[in-house]
Amino acid sequence: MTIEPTIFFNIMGSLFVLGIALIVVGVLYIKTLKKLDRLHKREIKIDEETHKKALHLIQNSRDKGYEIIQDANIKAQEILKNAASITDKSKTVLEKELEKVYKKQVKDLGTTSNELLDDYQKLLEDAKKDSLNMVKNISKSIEMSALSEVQDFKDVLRQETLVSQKVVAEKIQQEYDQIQEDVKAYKQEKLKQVEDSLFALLKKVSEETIGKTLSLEQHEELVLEALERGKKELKL
Amino acid sequence: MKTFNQYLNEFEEIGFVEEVIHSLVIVSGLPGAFPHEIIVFESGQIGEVFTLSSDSVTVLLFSKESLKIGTRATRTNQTLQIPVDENFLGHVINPLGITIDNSKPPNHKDSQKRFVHQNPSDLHTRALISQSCETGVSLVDMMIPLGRGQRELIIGDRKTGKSNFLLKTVLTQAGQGVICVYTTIGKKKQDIKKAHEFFQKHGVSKNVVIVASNSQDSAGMIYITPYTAITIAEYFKDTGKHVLIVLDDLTMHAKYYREISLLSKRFPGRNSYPGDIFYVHAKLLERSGNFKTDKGDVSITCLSVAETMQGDLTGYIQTNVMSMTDGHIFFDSDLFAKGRRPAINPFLSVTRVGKQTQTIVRREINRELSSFLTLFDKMQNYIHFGAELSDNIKLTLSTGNKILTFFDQSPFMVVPHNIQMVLFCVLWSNGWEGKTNDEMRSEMDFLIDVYKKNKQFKDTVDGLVSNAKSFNDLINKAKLATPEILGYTKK
Amino acid sequence: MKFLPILKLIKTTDDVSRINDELEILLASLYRVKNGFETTLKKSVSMELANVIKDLAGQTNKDLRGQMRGLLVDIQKYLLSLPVVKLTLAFSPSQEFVEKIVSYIRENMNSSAVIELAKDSSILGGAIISASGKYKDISLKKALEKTFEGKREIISKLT
Repeated sequence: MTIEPTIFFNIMGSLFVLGIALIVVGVLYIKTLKKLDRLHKREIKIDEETHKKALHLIQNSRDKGYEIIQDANIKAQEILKNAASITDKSKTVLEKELEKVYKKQVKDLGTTSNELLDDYQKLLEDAKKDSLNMVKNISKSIEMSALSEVQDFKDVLRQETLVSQKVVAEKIQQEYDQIQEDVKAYKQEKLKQVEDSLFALLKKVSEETIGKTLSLEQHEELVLEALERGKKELKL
Repeated sequence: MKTFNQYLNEFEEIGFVEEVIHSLVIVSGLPGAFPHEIIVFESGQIGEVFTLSSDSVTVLLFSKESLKIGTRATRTNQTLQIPVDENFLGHVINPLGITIDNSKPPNHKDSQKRFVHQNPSDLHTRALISQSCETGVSLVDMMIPLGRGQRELIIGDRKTGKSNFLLKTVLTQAGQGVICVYTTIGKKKQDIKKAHEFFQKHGVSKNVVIVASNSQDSAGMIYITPYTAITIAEYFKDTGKHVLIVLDDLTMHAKYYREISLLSKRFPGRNSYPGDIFYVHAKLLERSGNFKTDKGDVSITCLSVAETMQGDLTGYIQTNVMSMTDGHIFFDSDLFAKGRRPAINPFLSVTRVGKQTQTIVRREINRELSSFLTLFDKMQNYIHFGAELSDNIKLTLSTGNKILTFFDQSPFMVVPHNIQMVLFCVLWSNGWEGKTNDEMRSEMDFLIDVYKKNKQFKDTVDGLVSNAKSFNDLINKAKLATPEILGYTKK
Repeated sequence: MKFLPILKLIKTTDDVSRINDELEILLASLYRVKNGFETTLKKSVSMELANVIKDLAGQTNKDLRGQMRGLLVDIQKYLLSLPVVKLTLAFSPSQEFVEKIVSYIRENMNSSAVIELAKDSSILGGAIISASGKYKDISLKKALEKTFEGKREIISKLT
């Protein structure tokens, strides 16, 4: 079999084109690889740089921070110093002022108290005088009224005593009478009891005696008498 | 009382015991004896002349101990007397006036003595019954009202709540200062003790005397029990005090009288009762009533009890006593079985003179209630048919049930007149609409308790009742006051 | 009147019960063959009673058993109907005195009375009489008591 030339040329052409395409792709591929490599290196570099920068920044800020703190410390110490000095100062000032006020007050008080004292003494003396007078008056009047009352009381007491003596005497008499009566009643009761028991005894003795002394005839007579009475009263 | 020999020498009549038949003694001799005369025996026993014949006397003994044949007996020329005074109050005594409770017997040295057998007062001493007698039981006070001086029969089977009702009535009346004489005829000792303790517990025993004969006593003692009780009641009436006497129960009394009559060979009548059984009870009940005295109108209200057998109201003793009294309150055993307390049947109960003592408002309430309950009763028959009920009927049935719940009272709860009326009016005006019967009942019980303890509430309720001119007026006033009244249940 | 002869035999209630017992014996013997009525009348009852019964039977011609029975029962009823006067004495009376009392009572109080005697020495003397339900204490003791009470003041002065 023979292959036609067109077809052969076609095939060869296609192969040629393919081959060129392959070469182009290969070249492009290599370029890309290189680019990639470059990019990669660049990336690493950038990373390093940024790292460095960051470190640097941190270091800077740390330093700055230290500086600020130091400044602040110094300032605070100064303030404290000042404050201490102020307090010392103000203390002394205050003390001085207070002392002044105190002295003044003492002085004032002294004068007022003296004045007051004088007034008070005066008042007291006046009051004393007045009260003495009043007391004198009162005591006189009291004395008078007391005396009169005592006198009245004495009179009343005398009267009452007399009356109560009488009353007491009467009461005693009453009680005595009552007791007498009670005693009498008791005596009578006892007497009555004795009488009753004697009476009963007498009765019993009489009965016993009579019961034993009656003869048969007397009994029979009594029975007939009883029948006689019974005939009238019973009415059978 | 004198000794046997003293009586013998005084009256010079002697008798000898010929025969002893239980509590009856046949004594020969004693020609001068008269009916109901007291006979004294040599052995110390006493009895009453029951029957006279030409040559012997039948004596009804008051003691349980029997006599020997040949024991001598003598007359005393007097009928039975008992000492009467206020010292009896608070005690339990036997028909001879002797204290039988454990307390120190009162001193009767200066007491008056009264004959137990007396004739009832004449007609001209009687007054019209005009004051109402509060029982504390809503159903009775509203539908079967009683008046002071009325004789009312409490009738029903055994164990239907009659004694409970009586105790409640005594509690109410004694609390109002009325003297109560509670008589137990042939009851158990336990029941007597329970009644005594009940009065002591509720603090009313200072107004109550219990005249008791227990089932172990002789027939003679049981027979005279109610006569002793009415004698004591008459004493207090004569001192100007109203009296309530309870006789529990007359059927037992009739049974013992029958026993005595049959033993004494009297001819038996209907149901073997003697022919004078009516007289025995009539002469007792006629001694109560409303009387004109120099201290004004004073009453002896009598509540006598009769027991029925299976609701039979036509029994001999029952009909006898019904005819002697001014009405009866019937305790229905069917209602008791249904759980109604008190188990009173208002349709079969009657009060002949109680309604004239009621105020206009109460009378109107009574009328309204009676007609409503009759309607309710009829309607209850319709619901058995299973037909659909109209709203009207449902409302009537619901109101009817609420009214029945209103009438149900716990044992020993006493409901004063005014609060009864106000609560009823609140109910009538649907004050408890939407609430169950149990809720309504518990609220009512609470309000009754508040009425007794809270003066302000009491004054409000009393004011409502006293200012009402008619039933409708009271309903309107109650309707307006309902929130205030029911507000107390929330406090 | 008919039974007057019987009454003459009886003074006290003891006599009544004795005669009643004899009548019972006679009644029991009425219908016996051996130791019949005639034999019993001769041998077992007192002669006085036997004579009286014979007289009464003779008067009314009571030979026949039934009628004899009737007579005996009538006598018993008569005996029961006799009024009894109870006397309590302070001593035991002789038979003669008892008869004296009975005749006095029958003459002055009740012609057919029989007496029931009881002894009680505490009454001292006299008698306590009771009959037909009536009671009278006419004893010496009561009289003494009355005297003592009546003359109490005088007696107490003596003591």
